[in-house]
Amino acid sequence: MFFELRGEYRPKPSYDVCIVGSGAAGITLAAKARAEGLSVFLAEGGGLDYEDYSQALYRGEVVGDEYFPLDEARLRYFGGTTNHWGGMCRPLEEHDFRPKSASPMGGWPIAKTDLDPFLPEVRDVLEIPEHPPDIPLDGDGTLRRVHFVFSPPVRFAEKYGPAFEADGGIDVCFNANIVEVDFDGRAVRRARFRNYGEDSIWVSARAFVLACGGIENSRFLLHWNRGLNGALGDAGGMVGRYWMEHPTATIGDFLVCGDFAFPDDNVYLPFSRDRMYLAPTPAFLDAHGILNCRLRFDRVHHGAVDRMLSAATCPADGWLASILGDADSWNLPVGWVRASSEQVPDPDNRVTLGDDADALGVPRPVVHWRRSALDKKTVRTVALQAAAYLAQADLGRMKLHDWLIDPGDDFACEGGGHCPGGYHHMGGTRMAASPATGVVDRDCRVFGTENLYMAGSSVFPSTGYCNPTMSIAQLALRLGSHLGAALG
Amino acid sequence: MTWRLGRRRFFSLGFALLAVALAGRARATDADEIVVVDGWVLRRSDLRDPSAVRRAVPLRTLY
Repeated sequence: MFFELRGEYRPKPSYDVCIVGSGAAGITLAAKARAEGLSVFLAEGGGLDYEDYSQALYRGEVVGDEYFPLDEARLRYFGGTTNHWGGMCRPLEEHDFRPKSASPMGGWPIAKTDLDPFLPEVRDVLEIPEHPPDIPLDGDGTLRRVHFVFSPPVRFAEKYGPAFEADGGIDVCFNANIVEVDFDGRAVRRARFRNYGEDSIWVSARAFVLACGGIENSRFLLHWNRGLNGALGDAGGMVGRYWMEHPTATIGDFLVCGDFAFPDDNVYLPFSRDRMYLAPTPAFLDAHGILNCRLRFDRVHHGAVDRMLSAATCPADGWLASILGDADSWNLPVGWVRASSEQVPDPDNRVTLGDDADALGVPRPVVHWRRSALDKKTVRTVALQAAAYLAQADLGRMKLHDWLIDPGDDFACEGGGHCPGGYHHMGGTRMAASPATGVVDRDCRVFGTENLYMAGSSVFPSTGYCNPTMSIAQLALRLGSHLGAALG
Repeated sequence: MTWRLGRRRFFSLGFALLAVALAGRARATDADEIVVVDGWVLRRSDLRDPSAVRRAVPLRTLY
């Protein structure tokens, strides 16, 4: 049922689960919890549609590298950021769960096999097909062609809203902003929500789940821990730390032969979606001491052909002459290459609380974010390998931007578009084997508590290069299954 | 730039280089060294211009 937090509204005396936030994680979890037979209170701080006064609560400060304004990088109403989600889906890879040689802090306490059982369900949620298998590209085993699949994209509010509205077992409460929790030293007994006026309610539940996004989850834990001496998962001082994005940049251009085709795939470069993805193999990552990364080749058209040919005239004159002899050279596939990479988990990249508070009295977040020398090395090494592969196999040539060739640490953006990240907010309440290295356990339960959980990408201890929504939904389904077993 | 103007530039560039192509279309061997010039990642046999040859840096030195 749908409700609005107003003076006359009163929630039920208690629920099995209180979920705070109705984005990809919160809605997926709510649907799963209902399927497990649990009663649910689902709190959404915004309403059914976008409102400036709700979105304003997302304002915050960024310290370090240039980054998107925090209130533009996410949406605060029913459905959350899925309301402008692009729909790119790919699950984390097996080696993304293990610590990499270059990133000892990057391991998960669970394996890919812990999430795989939820693949059929998550495909139903996201309305996606199975992913085609990766395709090895070279004899040295350094590169793979990898595949993303695309959700329509699912707008979670539209997909699940009607069922939630008709279901007496779930109370969806709009304009319900969490401001306070009642923690007795072992468990959260109730949480207080308020609207944009003076009305507030207390909600009691057997379990509470924060599904507020990759910044807010840390922000609320930091805020509440101020009066609790870190009892809510912060015994090791880990709340807010190891925040990550996917460093993203346009790194160069490519020009390929007219008869270009990938070995064993026979996919001509006017790709099925005019784009193609390459990624390094795990062996290549370990050999070079780098993290995971994918390159996206986007085909562009006539203006870029002319620009690319002009730019190639001097250095590549021999090769250019040879391809210009081809009969169909005017249709040369040409385009740009974008990289999106895993970011090294760094304790100094973190969410903290600012001095200013929002309209509801909660301190605004400060995101400290910098890309490191290893982040630059990762993109640079993978780009050089891909470019060398195209040339060695005589499939085409790449021109890399100057900042990437430069051995310095600067991670610049050049060529415009999709810089500097993917709007992917990850980490801050990382999953770990102990409170010394993380905030939640392998079941997403906050260390030091019996019934407070985190849902969403804030629990990622490392990110791979894959867009996070599919993994967020898998984790939410797994958490719903866990709560069903624990509370059902 | 209009498509027509772009096509004119394209063909003038093409004719200039066609002479080189007619002299024999070079195809590099697998052992051809990969080099970097002005950001381009190329085979050494791609290079004809002496200035480009001088500026070429072996790719392996950049890892």
